Amino acid sequence: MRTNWIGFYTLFKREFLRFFKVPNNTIFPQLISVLFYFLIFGIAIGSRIQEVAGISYFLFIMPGLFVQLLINGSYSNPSGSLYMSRTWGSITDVLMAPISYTHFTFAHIFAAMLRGIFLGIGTMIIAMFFVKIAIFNVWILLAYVLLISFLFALCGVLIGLWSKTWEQLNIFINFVVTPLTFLGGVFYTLDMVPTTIKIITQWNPIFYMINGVRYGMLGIQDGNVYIGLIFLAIISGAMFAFVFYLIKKGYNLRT
Amino acid sequence: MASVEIKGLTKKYGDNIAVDDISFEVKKGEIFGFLGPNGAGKTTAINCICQLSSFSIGEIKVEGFDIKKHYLDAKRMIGLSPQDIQFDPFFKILDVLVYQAGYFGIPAKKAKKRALKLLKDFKLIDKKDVTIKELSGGMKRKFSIVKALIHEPKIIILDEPTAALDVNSRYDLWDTIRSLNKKGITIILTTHYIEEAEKLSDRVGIINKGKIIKIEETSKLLDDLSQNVISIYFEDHINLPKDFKKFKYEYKERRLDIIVSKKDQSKILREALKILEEAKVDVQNFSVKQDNLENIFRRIVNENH
Repeated sequence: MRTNWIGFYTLFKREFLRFFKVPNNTIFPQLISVLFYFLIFGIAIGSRIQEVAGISYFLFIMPGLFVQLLINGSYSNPSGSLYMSRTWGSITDVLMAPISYTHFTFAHIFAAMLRGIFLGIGTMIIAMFFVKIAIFNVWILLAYVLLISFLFALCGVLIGLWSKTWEQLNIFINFVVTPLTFLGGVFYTLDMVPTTIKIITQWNPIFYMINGVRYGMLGIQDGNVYIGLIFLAIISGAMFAFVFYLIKKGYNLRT
Repeated sequence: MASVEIKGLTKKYGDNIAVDDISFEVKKGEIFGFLGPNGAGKTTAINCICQLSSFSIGEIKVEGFDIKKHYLDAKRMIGLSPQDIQFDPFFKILDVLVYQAGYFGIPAKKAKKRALKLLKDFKLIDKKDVTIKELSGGMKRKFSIVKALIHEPKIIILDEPTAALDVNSRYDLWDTIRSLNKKGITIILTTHYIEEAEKLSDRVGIINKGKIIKIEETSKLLDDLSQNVISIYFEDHINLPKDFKKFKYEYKERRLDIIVSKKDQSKILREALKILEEAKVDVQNFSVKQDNLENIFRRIVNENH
């Protein structure tokens, strides 16, 4: 049978466009939060803070907020979509269709990545109203953006398949991602914090993600960005293998 | 080649056997009524055919495609209108149809044209810009069938299509099912309304406790297993002639009820009247009460309880 590219594209398009249908839930709250972070931490408090690693505090926090929205968008798209379509039964439409397991997986992942990148770009656009932005290393930035969004899209698929309740759906973002993002150096460098927080931060994978993006955008780093990239690629690869296995097995998709 | 071939299908949920070594075929172009009490295994079997349930024992072929070896080809052949109405609150029903067609590899322009035609045929065109939630119960059911038809499948599976529909909507849907079948689409119909299966199905399969207990042409099932009642009324009490012993009968208060199968009905009626005439018994009146598939179904299921 010939490859069903139209089926793949349709599922990708539907998954991507779905979040535009409810912008008051999926786009504006996140961007408004970022605007407030910029106003409060970047301008109000930031103006009282000396330069961090040779740049303004506003610019310093921008990559972290970019990663926060990148993660949030990439994770939320497939987790919400899969959970809801399983709950409402509309997942049957896709499961009945001749869409391969590979296409099913990648359509969800690519749509999620695009949503994350869309929100990340939104963060940059908001920041551009306040400061001038120049990208230091576009390839490192691109590699990190693609791998972070890929990894969290996979997390979204996993949680979307696993969740049986709304509460379960939000556990990962509320109790794992958000704390780790705040403890991932969005607002500080390692030498700005006490030893305990420093140790926690060094064990936090999101710190290396923010560090990589910050390097790509601003050219400053708190750790080796290439090692971070390799680790991110390994974790993403392992995660993909696991999620693809679950989808092929029909975990919480087929009875 | 049959439309659907099932061989030795067994599906377990933990220790519970939902479908137990069932084998049957659905012929091309027929309406196959798949009947059974609640929890008998109908929906499980259908979900296995549609690849919504996985199974480890048995084999299913759809239009010749083994659903494990050629799962994508098999999926193209089937349209399912499931028992539970599905919701997609994000998109209008026209968009849902265009997406559904897209999943099957139909380009958007062609899909939209096809979707509009189907919506028109099913009298849903005025509702094309609303979401499924805004449709009435009957319209939701119709839309579910439209969605199953969008990729022009060879087989349509209708799982309880008339559940919760009013009488008029049900009759409308029967007409729709007949007209689809006339176009050559094989139809598998599960229903709790046995009258529905009797009116629509060419053949019926009865499943109980996960096992197939009867598969037969509907007309043959009615001929062989119906228990029609010939009631003969007399003016006065009579002593029945001995010849009546060969019949299955009951005599009470000047009324004789003879239980017959549909195929033997005429012969036995003639014979009974002849015996009475020869015995010079005056018959006041007689009537025949036809049995139906519902009673036959109940008897078969109870016998296998």
